[in-house]
Amino acid sequence: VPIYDSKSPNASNLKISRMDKSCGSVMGGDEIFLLCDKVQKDDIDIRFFEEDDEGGWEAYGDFSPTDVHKQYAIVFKTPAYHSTEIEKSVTVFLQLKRKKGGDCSEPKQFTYVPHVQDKEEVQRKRQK
Amino acid sequence: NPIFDKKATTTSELKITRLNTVKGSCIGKTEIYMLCDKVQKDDIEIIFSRGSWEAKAEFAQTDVHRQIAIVFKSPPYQDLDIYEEVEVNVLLRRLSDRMDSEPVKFTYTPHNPDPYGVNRK
Repeated sequence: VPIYDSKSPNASNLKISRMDKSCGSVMGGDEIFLLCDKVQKDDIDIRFFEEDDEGGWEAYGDFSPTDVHKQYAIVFKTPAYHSTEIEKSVTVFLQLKRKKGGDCSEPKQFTYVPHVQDKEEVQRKRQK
Repeated sequence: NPIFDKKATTTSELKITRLNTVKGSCIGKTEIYMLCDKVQKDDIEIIFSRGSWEAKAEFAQTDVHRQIAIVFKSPPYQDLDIYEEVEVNVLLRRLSDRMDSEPVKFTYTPHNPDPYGVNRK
């Protein structure tokens, strides 16, 4: 009979409780504070994804094990969206995902907003 | 001999690790995420201070996440008519023994409801 340890972080469910931001630049690089249920600092990824008929897209949040605070919070930087040329905001999902085993949390929404062009760039386009 | 439990949250050292925001309006209400060492949700305050001025940040016990993070709102600064940025201290204070953490810095920015000076004309 296997011994099931419900307190082991590997057995407990992954859950995102709260994030300080749910939108950011399409270019990525926005810092986000994420509060979560227990994670192992060397066995966790933050997966951004989009599902569509053509196979979808995924990318990973950027952080090191030292950015995982006491197993219950992660400070990370958003990945860039696959296209930085969007004209309207695009909503994707993110979730916690274990490297080993691949267990995932319920997803949360994240919205990529278009890159704000500088004024000269906008003017140049208007003159065309 | 007394047994000293270094891990007990009632006596352990208080420590602020990181804030997600270190700047906000002098009128307060800036939402801030703080990562910290273990705290008891019913025995902790976040104090903003400068000189003799002190104010408590606003949060509920449900805003304390797993003892290691607190989501709170900055209190208003004592003077809402500042024209320059003001740097203040933020610290954790345990109610039961009045123990304070080392402070971290937070900057209040002037509140300008009329940034283009329209009302002044």
